[in-house]
Amino acid sequence: MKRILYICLLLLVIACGSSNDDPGTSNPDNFNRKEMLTFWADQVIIPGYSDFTQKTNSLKDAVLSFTATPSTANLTTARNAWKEAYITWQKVSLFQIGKAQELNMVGNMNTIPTNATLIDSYAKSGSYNLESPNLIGVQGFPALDYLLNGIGTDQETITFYTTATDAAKFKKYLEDITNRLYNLTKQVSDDWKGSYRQSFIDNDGYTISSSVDKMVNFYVIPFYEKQLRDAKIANPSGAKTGITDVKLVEAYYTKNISKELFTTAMLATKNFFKGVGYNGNTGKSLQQYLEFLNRKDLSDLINTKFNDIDQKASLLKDNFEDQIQNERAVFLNTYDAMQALLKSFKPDMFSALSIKNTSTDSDND
Amino acid sequence: MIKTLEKYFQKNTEAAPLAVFRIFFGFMMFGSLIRFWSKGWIKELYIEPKFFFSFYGFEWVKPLGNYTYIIFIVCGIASLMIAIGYKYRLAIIAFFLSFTYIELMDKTTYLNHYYFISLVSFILIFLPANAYFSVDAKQDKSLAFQKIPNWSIDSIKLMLAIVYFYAGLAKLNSDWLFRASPLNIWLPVQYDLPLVGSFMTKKWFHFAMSWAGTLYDLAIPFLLLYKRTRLLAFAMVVVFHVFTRILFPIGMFPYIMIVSTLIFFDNKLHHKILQTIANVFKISKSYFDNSKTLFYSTKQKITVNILAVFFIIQLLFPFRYLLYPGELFWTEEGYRFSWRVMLIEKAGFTEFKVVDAKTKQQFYIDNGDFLTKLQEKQMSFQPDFILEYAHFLGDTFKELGMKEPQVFVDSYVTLNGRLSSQFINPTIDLYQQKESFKHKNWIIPFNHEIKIKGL
Repeated sequence: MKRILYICLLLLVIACGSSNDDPGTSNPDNFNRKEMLTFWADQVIIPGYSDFTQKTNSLKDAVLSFTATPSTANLTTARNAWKEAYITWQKVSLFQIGKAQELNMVGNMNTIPTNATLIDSYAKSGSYNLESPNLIGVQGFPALDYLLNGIGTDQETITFYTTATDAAKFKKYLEDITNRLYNLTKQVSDDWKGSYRQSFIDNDGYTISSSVDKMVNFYVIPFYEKQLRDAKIANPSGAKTGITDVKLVEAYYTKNISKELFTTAMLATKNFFKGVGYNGNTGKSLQQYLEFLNRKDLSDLINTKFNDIDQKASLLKDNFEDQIQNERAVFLNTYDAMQALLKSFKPDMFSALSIKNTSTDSDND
Repeated sequence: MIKTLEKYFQKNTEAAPLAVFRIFFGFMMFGSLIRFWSKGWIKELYIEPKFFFSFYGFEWVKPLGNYTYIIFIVCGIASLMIAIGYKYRLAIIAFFLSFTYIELMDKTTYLNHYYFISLVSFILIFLPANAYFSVDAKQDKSLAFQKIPNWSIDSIKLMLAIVYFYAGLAKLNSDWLFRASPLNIWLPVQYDLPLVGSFMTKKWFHFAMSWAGTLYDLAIPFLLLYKRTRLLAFAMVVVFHVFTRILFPIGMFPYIMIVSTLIFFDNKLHHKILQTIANVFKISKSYFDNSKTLFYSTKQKITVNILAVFFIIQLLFPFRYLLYPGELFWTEEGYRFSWRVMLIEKAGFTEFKVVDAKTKQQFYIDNGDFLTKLQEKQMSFQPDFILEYAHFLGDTFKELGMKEPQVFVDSYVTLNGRLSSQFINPTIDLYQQKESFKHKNWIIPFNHEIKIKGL
């Protein structure tokens, strides 16, 4: 019995001795998930949503001034406020965890394309429940785009909201969807500032229900894959189907801000990975987590692919609609670069971080 | 040689260890089924999905909608009947069939330990596990025996030994031993475990665990067989399985293995266990101590032959991978049913493109439209899943009116922390490829600079 114990002990020593511990490559003190979650909450998400709340508040004020006094000046202010808020949305739309997920912020804020015909009929009928999940296509930024930028010239727009037959009804509809946009944002922001922050940070494990798992899952699949790659690039340019459809361009009625919306969202994606906070300060994020797990090769590759996307996207023009019709290759190249990054996110990063992209916490063997 | 064998088959032993095994097996299976049900997995895994992945040749085994619950109920009742030893033969056959049916319904949920349960229940069909301390033996004196042939208990031991030893053989590869992969991927994220957390990020610890795991698997059957090391071995079994239970989500498996290894102990322990049960339930144990022996008969000769064939297959089957070209961990041709337990970390990204050959119209599939997340995960790095799903997509769009659907796949796979590389030839129309036991030549060969060398 004793002899066996000695043999076991000896084998263990041999096994341990056969490898040199490599100090410096992985030190448990230089990373922990709680720190990362705290950085995400305090330096990225909460400042982001605060900013976004302000922007949607300004938008609400501007729209209400416009509906009170439909003048050219007020129209311009409302349009600018809409643009500012829409750009800010791109910076926070990747944080769909907790309240934002519960309220389906992505659907309510940015369902593309908006359904102008339906908006007209709802506005005219005056009977609609914006909280219904069926009505996500007639509210949010794309619907405001239509109502502020898609009616016609400045003068035509002012007429539309003053002397036209259904002016009052459309004013009401415009106010309603603007208020809803603000209220939704306020709810999410308040939740983060309230109790949610702490529970988000405390949930620092590595299982399916942990904050890191949920965030990374959302970051990669619904956000990067569906909203960035598909909604902004692939769908209008037909990169996946071969059929272009310019009506699917983001900010279709404004025409010239699509690129800014895209590059803003792309930058937010990159900053989140690298650990750059909302106001530019740095902290621990996915890149540092990968490095901690000895996967600098992967985080370097991901950064290279981010740069490649930037390079391809630099050739995009402000007006996507024109460019899709005349210079579609730029979109296809951007799509390919984005797809390449997705291939590093999806099998590699998930695998390296032990992120389980399954809904079931089923057994393994 | 033949004489020794003859003599071996004549040997008898106390029936108590097999009775204890039967009781624990039955109750643990019942508990596992209740756990499975209460977690909502029946609904989630077998009722809600729109599509199920089949094992080749078992395409006819499908979940039965809401009737699927009935299979689980049958299985549950059967396991209770096994535990108490009531109408044992009927119960164990019902258990084997229902349990195996459940496991064949969708290969997404394939686990080595489910396969182990199927095999053990198959062996148990042929063993006189109800001869002692059972309702059957109580009701029918002619079935009651205190002693049974030695080989019946040994066959369970052999099955357990195969599981461990082959799991050990599978670990004899360069990734496991010399890169400490995949443990070096799985352990560091658990740096916040109490007490042992700080080891988790250490390289030496990954190697120590990899090597210790290998040695454990290879040695444990022998340490359990040898009387002088048995107690130590059992302690190792408990420590090993409890530790793996803490580290990995492996459900009931550790407990089943711990309890199963009790069969290696001698009669005294098992009589004690039975006496305790007898005391609690006020059963007269002495009734079963009738000194009767179940002798080796012609009928049993057939049984022995069946089990002999069974074990020869068990010993050979895990080596079938040698018949395939290419890297086993990459192609997974001959990977399953071979005790490769928690052996590799693999993940994939697999997007399907459906093209109408007539109109050249094309579109990509959102896998979430047809598969659950778990199915998508499993599908994305296993070629047989990819092929089956490609056929499902082709069939689906044919039904929707597409004349000549073609299915192409863009697939990238990462294996044990290597950067992902292309997995399936993207120019091959998978809808034209047929499933078979032949090598799938549309898998792009594993060509990473860090090769895997193994047994």
